Amino acid sequence: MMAAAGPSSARSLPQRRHADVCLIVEGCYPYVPGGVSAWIDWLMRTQPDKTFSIVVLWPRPTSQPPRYALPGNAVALDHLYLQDFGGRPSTRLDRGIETGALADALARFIAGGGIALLRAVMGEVARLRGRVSLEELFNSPLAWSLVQRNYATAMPFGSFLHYFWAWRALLGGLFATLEFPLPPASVYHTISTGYAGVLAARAGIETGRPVLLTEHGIYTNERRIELLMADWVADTIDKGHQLDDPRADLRDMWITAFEAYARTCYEGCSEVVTLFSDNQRAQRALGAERGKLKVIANGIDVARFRALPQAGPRDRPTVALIGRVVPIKDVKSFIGAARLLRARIPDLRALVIGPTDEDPGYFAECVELVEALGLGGCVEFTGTVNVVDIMPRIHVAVLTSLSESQPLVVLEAGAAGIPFVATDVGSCREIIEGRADESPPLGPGGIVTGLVAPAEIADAVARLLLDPALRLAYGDNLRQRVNRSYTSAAAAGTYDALYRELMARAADGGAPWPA
Amino acid sequence: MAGIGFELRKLARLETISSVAAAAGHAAIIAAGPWLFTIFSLASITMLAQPIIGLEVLATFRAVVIYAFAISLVTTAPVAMVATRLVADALWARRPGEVRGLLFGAYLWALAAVTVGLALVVAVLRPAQSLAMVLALMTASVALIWVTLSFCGAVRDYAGVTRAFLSGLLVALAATVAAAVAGFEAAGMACGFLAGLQIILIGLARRVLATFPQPIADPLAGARAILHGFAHYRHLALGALAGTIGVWIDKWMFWGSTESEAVAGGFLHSPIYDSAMFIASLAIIPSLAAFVVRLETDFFERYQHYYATIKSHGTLRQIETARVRLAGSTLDSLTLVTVAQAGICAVLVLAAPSIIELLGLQFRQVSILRYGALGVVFQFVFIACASMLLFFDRRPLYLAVQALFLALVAGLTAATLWLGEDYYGVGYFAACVIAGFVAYRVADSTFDRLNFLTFLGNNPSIEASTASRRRGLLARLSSRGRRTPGTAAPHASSTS
Repeated sequence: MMAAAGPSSARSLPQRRHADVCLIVEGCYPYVPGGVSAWIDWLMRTQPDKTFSIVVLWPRPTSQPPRYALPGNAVALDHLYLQDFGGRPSTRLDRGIETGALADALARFIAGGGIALLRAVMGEVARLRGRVSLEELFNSPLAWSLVQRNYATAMPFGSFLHYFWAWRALLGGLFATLEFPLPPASVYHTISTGYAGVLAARAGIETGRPVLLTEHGIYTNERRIELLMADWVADTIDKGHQLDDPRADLRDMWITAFEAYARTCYEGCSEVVTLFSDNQRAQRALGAERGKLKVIANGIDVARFRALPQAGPRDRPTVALIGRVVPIKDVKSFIGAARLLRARIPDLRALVIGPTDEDPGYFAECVELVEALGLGGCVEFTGTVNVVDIMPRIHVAVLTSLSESQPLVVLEAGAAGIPFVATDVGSCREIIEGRADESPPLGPGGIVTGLVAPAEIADAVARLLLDPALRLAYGDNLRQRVNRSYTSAAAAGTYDALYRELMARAADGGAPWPA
Repeated sequence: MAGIGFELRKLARLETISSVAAAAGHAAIIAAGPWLFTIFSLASITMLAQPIIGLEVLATFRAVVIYAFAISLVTTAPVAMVATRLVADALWARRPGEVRGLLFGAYLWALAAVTVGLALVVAVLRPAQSLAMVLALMTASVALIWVTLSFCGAVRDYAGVTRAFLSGLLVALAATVAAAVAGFEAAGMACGFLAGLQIILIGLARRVLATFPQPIADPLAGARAILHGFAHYRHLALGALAGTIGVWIDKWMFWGSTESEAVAGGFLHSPIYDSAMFIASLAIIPSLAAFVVRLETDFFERYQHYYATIKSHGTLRQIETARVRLAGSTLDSLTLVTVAQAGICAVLVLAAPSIIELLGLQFRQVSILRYGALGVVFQFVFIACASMLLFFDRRPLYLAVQALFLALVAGLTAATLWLGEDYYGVGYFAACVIAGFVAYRVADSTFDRLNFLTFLGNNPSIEASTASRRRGLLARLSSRGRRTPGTAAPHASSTS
């Protein structure tokens, strides 16, 4: 589903051309390869009868080369720069422009979100726009009076320096999102919440066209993890042990704002799609109505794997972790499991298949661990190889990740009839054990384990390796499930139907495109 | 993972201006000092040598010295100001190895600049050859002194500067008087004076070279850096140039008027205007010294406290408290010193007739001295307030007030020349009053709006985001049509 590598560029296309679907993507396509970008490329290529325009949300102009060539049915690609609040600062005093109402509207929107509050902000911005451009406003004494008002209500005891920059980043992104000229389209499809979600919600308000969200990872959770790991966000308020301290800190402000954006997006979308049902808990917690929620799983091209020969009972017993050697994949737990397994299966081969250059420090630690445990002849790092070539040698595939959304590797192994042992993250359980509403139930396609549990993983793998009948049965179950629910064709068909329905709704319900 | 969280880190940094801007502020104060040295040494030599050689030779000698100082001060002012700022930038970025190269580069630019100035003066006045030679030597030496002095200012080594100037002054006085006693003419006396200047130059250069021992790798790197600095800090360069011309333009206009005389060597001067104004100018020395001391102690502590409060994550209320403290103490200092300055000048105004008599000047110079003394009070306010603009890095405003000062002095001096002798000195006085008030208003509003200016209005980080957009546009234009092959790994679909 990855785009073919080839000549690519965000080629200049005639702008303002009406498209069937406007995709709104934040921080991935077309500059970051793999993952969500690959999915976007797949989506457009599997809907050849529809035209797409793409709005790329990016921090600021970049010289990075695009990693994907635009497909032929893409009619426009526009950039929305979030952190490029240019404009030479103006020191002129404000011209008697009252910013109080805008400050209030912004403060309430950032704290709560929702369509009504977004409308209020849009109204205030529209009222001001006649007198001062947003860019001018953002670099003038007006902005100074705004930031002081917002600071006084949001976190008057926190670092003003941090607040100021956070405020500029948040508001700059929000203003850019409110100013951006929307490309004309029948359906607006955002691929995350965040600013992309706000832009989609705005599109819904302004055009009356249907708005659709496909959320891969939960945006607010990803930002939350980033903020927790960000050592540069000083904990400027010593909250001590008093957990109910009402004084807000910078992290709270960011998270509150991202949640507000998400709430706005969920409310503004008529369909909230995700890859697996576990994600829906987070979406519901931020106010997504149950009736809007949908699961459309990612699919793979099963034909690539269908005809692969399977590893036989006489081949050397082989277990494989297919993934990048990075901490989030918890390769060390896999190595630990290999040590326990080798005690029971002496000629075991444990492969780690995937690039090792992304986190050289972590890779070095893993190599050291293999040597320290005396697993030299057992654990092998293959580096980047084509999975199709290596699958016929694998008896059991393993995923020890600490976090995943919908790992394609489980589907790919399943399509090849290889049973899977995976940690209980993302949609692993759903793929391996089947969704609750699966009918008829196909039975397990592998075994789901806890996180960072080498012993449990070793037990599960041993069960499958030592019981060929069970292994074949689970492999077959997984293959059937993938063929039924996780094919690229099925996913493409679902989106085709969804787009058709929304486009029909746009045709008779939406407001005419404003000239 | 879709989303733009990873970009937030870059925004949390504050690119601070305080530490580098402060150096320029100091330099502005110090830059007012050199021409006072001129006047002080000339006054001393006049008093010491007049009985020995008579007025005419002395006038020629004095003209050579004044021309050397005027040419070098005006032509090197932009070099010294820009070099000061670049030294501060290099020290702030912890690259002291660049300082020697900058010094050498500033020397090259200073020599180039004085050569142009000298060529003009010599072409217009055509002085005697021996005097032209010694004028050239002296102008070049003084130019190098001003440049070196600005480097000393960047490291705030006032003690070393004072020692070098005192020893040089003593040698200059002794050698000049000795030359006079030995019967040498004006050119010989000027050579004696030159010896003292060389002592100052060596003394100052030793301080700088000892502080920055790192050798120069590329002999022209410093000169290139300064050329780049002229463009980047053009407001500083032009402001320093305008300010220095402003200090001299009234004298030049008198030299070019009907009130001018030519001394033996061919140099023009205006005895009625020059001596009175030079004496009046001396009155600013104690105030500037007092103000520098206040800056070094009270002001600088509060100045740093203000920026430290911001950087150490103070609340807006704490920042505002620090701002009020800073503004209050600075205005207090300014008021205090201005009142003292007014006192000194009042004495000068009252004692003007006695001073004129004591120095053997003409009685009709009394009113010029009085206007000069009154003007000095406001000139002090102007210098102090203009330097405040540099402390807070308001470079375009600095240029604006200096240009205003120049225009006022030139315009009002022209008016007084037209009005006649009764008004001599009034032009300078009125120019100082207006420029002083304007500079005060601008400095006061800078203190008032300091929080806004620090975070938004005058924040280089915010300007930088504009620059990034321009760069981005350029990058986009230059990358148009360029085709880059995709670099996606074939395995990525399974492992991402």
